[in-house]
Amino acid sequence: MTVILVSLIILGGIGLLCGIALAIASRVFAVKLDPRIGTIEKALPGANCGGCGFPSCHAYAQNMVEGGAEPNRCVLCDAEAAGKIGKVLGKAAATIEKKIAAIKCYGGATAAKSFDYGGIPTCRAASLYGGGDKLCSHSCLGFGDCVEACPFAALSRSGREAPIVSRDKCTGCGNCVAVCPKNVIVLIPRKALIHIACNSKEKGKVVRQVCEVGCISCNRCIKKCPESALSMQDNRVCIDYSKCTSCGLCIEECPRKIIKDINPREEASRAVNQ
Amino acid sequence: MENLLVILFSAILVNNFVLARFLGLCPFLGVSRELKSSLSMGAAVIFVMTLASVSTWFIQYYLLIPYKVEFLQTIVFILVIAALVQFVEMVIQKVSPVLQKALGIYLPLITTNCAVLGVCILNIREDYSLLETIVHGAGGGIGFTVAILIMAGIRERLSLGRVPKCMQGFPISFITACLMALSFFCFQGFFAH
Repeated sequence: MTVILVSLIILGGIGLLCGIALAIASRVFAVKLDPRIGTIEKALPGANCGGCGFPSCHAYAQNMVEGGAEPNRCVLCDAEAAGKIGKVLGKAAATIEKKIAAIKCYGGATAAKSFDYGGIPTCRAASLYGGGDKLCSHSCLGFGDCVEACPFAALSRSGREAPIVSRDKCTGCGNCVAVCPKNVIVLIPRKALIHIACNSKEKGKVVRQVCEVGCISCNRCIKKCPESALSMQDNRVCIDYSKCTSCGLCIEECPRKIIKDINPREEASRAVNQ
Repeated sequence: MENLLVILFSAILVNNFVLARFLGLCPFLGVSRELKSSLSMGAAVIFVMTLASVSTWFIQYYLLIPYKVEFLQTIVFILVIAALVQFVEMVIQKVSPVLQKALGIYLPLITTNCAVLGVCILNIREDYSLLETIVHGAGGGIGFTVAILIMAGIRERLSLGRVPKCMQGFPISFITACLMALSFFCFQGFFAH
């Protein structure tokens, strides 16, 4: 009988003491967090994609309150959400341009190969072997490192073709841009309709030998453009989206059909074809 | 002094908690995917094991034995360890946010781990003094850290290698753990002479 009583007292006593001690400790050692951090974190999407430059939504919220980060850096927030966050901080949130990832190479499946690669099937591993198995050293390697890196499942691929970006899912966070060893992916304004799909820095003659869908630096698009939005840099056509009016003359002019119309209509038809 | 060294190294190598006593396998397999997180885990285990060893030693000799209720050992030890770690977690959060970030979620995660309880019960069973208890607790934690760091290093390499599909994930990890346990078996009898 006494054994039961003693064990009850000891166990209950220890439990009670621990409980009281923890209750006191939680008061004494309470860490006061700025309540604004919680409010802002709720307004953020919570996807932890890293598009804002911070490792997580919580870190971004903390930095906005304590470190003075701008409230418009979230790639997922629309203007309304950014405004809401700005209101909590007492700042006006200037809107940023929404971006979307675009792949500057369509030669993934067709470009000529220099050797048969049989190693670890990732782009980063393949690019370590003499820059990959494609003759064009600027080509998409097509092992889909970007597909795996995308936190929103916005990229999809079949075989070793260049991945397809889903307009609905892509948020422009840039995780795929960071992971691509060939720098084939770029972020372009979401409202842009024209996209130049060749990444090669080689001269036209070399490109002609290794790829059927590469830019041969013929300059015809540049001459055609009425707004002079196009220019040639490193044998590559570059587009200045601030000047482009999406007239589409360059798309018709390109002999290699590498200037693409990337509006939603065209993407839908391509998905059907596949 | 020699006695303490023997206890320390036998806890690390000969009677390694993971590879010889097979305690604490859950975090050993769960948190050994990356070297960085397994290092944090190891640090948390060293900390909790030492702390738990000391506190349970006092509980055993100043509470359980005088009142002749040694059969309450397991439940009281778990209760005390859990409460103590929770308390320390609160203090760390207040005093040193940097340390709290380094230990992260691992500190509360291992409070009721079997390796932690195991080290406390072994201390009592081996009739260690307070100093020996501290050394044994720290040694057990260091042994766990060594084992989980080796495992994480191997698993980081394995993730790049080509593992047959049926062996991917936990099967290959268990085989790796088995081979590591076999190699640690060589330390048996190391301090016998």
